[in-house]
Amino acid sequence: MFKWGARSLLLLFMTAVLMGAQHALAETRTIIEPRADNFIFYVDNSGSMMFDYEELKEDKSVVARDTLLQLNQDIPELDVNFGVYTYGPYEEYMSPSSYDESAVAEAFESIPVEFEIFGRRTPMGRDLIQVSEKLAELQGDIAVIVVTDGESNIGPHPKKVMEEMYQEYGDRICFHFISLAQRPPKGTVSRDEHAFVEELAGINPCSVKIDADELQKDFVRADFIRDVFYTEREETVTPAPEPEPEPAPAVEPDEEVIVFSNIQFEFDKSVIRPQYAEILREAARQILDRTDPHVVVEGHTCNIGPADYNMGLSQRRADAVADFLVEQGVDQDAIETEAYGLTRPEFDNDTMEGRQLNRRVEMRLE
Amino acid sequence: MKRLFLCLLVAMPGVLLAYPQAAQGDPVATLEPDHYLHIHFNEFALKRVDKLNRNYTGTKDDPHLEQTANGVVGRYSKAMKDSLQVQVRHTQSELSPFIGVMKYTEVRYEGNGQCPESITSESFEMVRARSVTEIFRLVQDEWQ
Repeated sequence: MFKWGARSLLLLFMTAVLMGAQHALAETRTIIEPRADNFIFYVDNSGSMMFDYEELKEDKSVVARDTLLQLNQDIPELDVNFGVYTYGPYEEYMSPSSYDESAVAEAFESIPVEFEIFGRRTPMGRDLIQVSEKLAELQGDIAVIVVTDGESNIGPHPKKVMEEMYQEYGDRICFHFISLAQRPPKGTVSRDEHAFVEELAGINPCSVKIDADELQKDFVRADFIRDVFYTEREETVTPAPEPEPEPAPAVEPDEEVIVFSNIQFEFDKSVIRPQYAEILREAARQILDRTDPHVVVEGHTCNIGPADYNMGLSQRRADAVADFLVEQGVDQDAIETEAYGLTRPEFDNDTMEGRQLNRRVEMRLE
Repeated sequence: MKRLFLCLLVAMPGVLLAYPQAAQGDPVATLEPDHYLHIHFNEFALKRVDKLNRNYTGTKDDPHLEQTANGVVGRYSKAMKDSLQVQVRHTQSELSPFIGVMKYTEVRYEGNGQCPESITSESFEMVRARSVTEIFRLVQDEWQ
């Protein structure tokens, strides 16, 4: 028969204390490790990309560009090489070099989005052979991210070229796919573009395939980035002893502001995503709690993109937030909007964290 | 040995119960400071303040310098950790059942000089202090 004695109780108590102390002392940090040493974008720039991408009601070339720019913003800073190529025609927009977010953004923005359709065939396989010659110079593992609408209508079949590249590079290479393919209308005999992309992605189980419209969802995009670009692991570290905190000065704020750097808009748009409505409702509640509130809603951006573009975007976002406040009952006459674009960075635009923080809306309460 | 094993077995649930599941409270109810989610959000908010402080355009040790008509202005900002206050609220939204509100004082210091070398730590004065509120939503145990 088990008896609770004083020694047993003391042991029980000490065990609980030790386990709690262990939890308090240990810290975990997340280590990000890239999945490859080289990430090569291979983007369809053929005539078919001038057609509409039905899912988003936009030209495929514009969807491709915007999707890549959004991905580039969300990818963490990795110590890897990035390269950017197009096919149909073949062009090198960025030779494989150390990842620099702004340089990659510039490469993506340089890819034409308006061009003649006719005569601009889709030589996915043929131009991939040219890219392969560039890849032969690279060290380490290679991930090729293919942006395709499921067309290839001249030159060797890309499946054959990819199979040969898998044979040549072995485990060092993997092809991933961002698909702008569309299903043929019912009752027609048009090619099934989806099936074409599936066929290419099915060559090797390492491949990740995603539809471009799915990448508009931020949690899907985050998953895609983790599946293609990096892995995470937790590392337990014992933290250094904390320094004595400096005594807080007696500071009386003379301004009051509500800042949002976490509200996501549809990319390059000013439509607030519904999951962020509750955050804005809380802001509206705080404003309505004040007697005779006056609010100035300011839009700010980071420094990626042209200044006038950012100015317009920040104005549209400030307007979207102001409209939401009015819907929540804030008097329209009590709200002003101001756009600052990239002109008032509070944070360092040279880091990804700083740029994310600069992309903000501020509500100045007066 | 057997006693030690049995003690560990009994102690484990006690440790786990230190972090209870979030209770379903009244709509738009504020959670108590000892609630798991309040503690969780407080930890997040402290890290958030650290993130802000390492990303401002200028710091005390490396102020941001700007040329003006009259010389050079040095500037840096700081979020005051000691001023941090947090609150977690249970909402009626299915998409965002919990929101966290953090409030802190952000101060900006500026110093003037004819040239960058003439700006010393004594040159700086506080030119702005503002109360900043940030609001986050809980998504799968992560504050966004």
